[in-house]
Amino acid sequence: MNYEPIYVNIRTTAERGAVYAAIEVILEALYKKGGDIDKRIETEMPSAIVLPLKQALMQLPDKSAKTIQTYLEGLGKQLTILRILSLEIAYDPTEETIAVLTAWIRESLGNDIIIELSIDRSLLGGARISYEGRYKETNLAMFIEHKMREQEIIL
Amino acid sequence: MNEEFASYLNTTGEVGYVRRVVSSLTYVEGLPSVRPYERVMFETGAYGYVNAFTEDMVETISFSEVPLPAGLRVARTNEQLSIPVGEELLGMMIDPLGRPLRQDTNWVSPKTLRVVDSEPLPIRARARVTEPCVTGITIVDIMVPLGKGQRALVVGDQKTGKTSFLLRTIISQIREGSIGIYVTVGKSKLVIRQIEDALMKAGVFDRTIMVAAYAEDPVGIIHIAPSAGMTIAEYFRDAGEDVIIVIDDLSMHAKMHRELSLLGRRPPGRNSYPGDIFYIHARLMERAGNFITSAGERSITCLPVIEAAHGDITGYIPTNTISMTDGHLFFDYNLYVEGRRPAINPFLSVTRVGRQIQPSIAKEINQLLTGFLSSARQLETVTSFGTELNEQLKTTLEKQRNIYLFFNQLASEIIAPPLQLYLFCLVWTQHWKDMPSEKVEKELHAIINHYATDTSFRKQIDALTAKATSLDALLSLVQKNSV
Repeated sequence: MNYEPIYVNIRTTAERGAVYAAIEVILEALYKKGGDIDKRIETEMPSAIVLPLKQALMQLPDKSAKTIQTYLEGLGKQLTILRILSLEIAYDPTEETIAVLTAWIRESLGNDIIIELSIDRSLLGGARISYEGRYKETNLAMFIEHKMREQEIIL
Repeated sequence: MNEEFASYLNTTGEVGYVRRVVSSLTYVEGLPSVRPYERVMFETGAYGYVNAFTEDMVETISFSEVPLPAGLRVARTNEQLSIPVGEELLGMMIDPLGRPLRQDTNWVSPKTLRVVDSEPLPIRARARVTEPCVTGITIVDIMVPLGKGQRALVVGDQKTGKTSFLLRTIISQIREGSIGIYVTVGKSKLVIRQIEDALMKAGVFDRTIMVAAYAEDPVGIIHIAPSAGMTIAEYFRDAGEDVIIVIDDLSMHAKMHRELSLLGRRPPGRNSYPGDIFYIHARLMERAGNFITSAGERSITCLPVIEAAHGDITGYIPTNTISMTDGHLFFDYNLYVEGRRPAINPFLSVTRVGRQIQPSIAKEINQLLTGFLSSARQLETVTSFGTELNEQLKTTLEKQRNIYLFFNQLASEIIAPPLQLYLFCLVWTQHWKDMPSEKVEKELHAIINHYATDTSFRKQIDALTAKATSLDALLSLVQKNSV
């Protein structure tokens, strides 16, 4: 099954965590009497996922609880195999910043990638990025330190 | 973030994340270019090294004393696991990572680093063992002689006097000019302290390096202790010194290796030891020997210890180690109970290179005693049935008793080869005929003490034994000049 229209709306590991939790709740509600699945999706799922998930469920061959369960479990598995890029920055990013960052990263690495964001206030004007074992740190503090060391050597 | 850790991350441009921790084994995701045996650093400041690779993870052994949490970052160091080596180590007690264990000493860390797991030198860099390795233990020097560069296994039950023998051997060799390295593998602090004290008391600690892995150290640290000791030995060999290294003990090392292998889910073999245990120990033993260096022939004499359970030397690890060494000294529990010190059984001990380099008179004594003691042993069996003994049998049995008394040594006694020969001549020529064993023992110790304290007596004995060209000549000389 194609889960891309759904996971493309998940940008960070935190959002993925929220989707996992929502899937659990929906799966529990599936076999309960009077459980309205659409309502559950609207209340539990992050807003960016609601519409694509509803659309995907509409396209299922039947709307039985068993079929929905298989689809949601498949989605859960798909989420676990998404690639992760770790990004450490010095400030809390806005929604806009996250959107820009995700778009830029996905342009180069593909849609099946999400960001693991963490905050380190000691970072000055830069970021630490690690992806598949590769590590890169660029920040102003490092740059200044490097320049100062060069000056020391010259002196 | 730890500054050193950050620097490693930036220099190598690689990072890993701890995903699974099983005791000392840590499974790391990432670090795409890491190499086997490379040192890695964890975000907590602890170190470890790469032990193996799985399909998607790197298996590392951490030296951390506390379990590492999952999710921790790991950095490559781009260096093989190495330890600092140099003259500064002499008279120091260090852990297997080269860190000092006694804080009251003036520690200057050596600048040179040397890889812990290095390839043994090839056959073209090796020479025949040509020099005897004097232990100062009469029964060994005469019956199972060792050579410099020999790998001699010390095998026996717990508490049969192995450590005492090892200490006297190392002291004796250091006094002859060698460098001594004593590696303890997972021993208690008390035992390590006793070894340290014994070496200090003998006044040889300034030519000794103790590599101590305590029983409570992480498995990874205990596991590398023998290799670390051997690395230091190789440094001193290359610096032009003869080295003697004691590994006390290799059976504990095998147990540590088994623990790590089972935790790493490798298939267990005999006695649950992994299949590569032979390779691990043989590779270690191959690093000892007599080598051709730029300074001439230099040796690493290795004395690994194996603890045998209930005198059984047919176990997996004892037989493995027996097959990869150049002989073994068997410490017999029954002899120990009988009161023989050291409790070495000369009939179950083997030396594969020692006899070829034994001085001619000692070799003659060896041959004589091997024949005499085995026939006396047979005679002993017959007489145990209560047969009445004739004079000749009585003399033979008395001689046998006196020979065993001559082999008996106090824990602190180191007997020089000339004195060993002299005492043998006294015993063989029935100097103490019809004397009770207590008196013979007393006289033997009196002569040993006299030799140690009286320079003129020592010179006299040394001259006497040097003058003789054969055993017969020596026997007659001693009979004429017995003091």
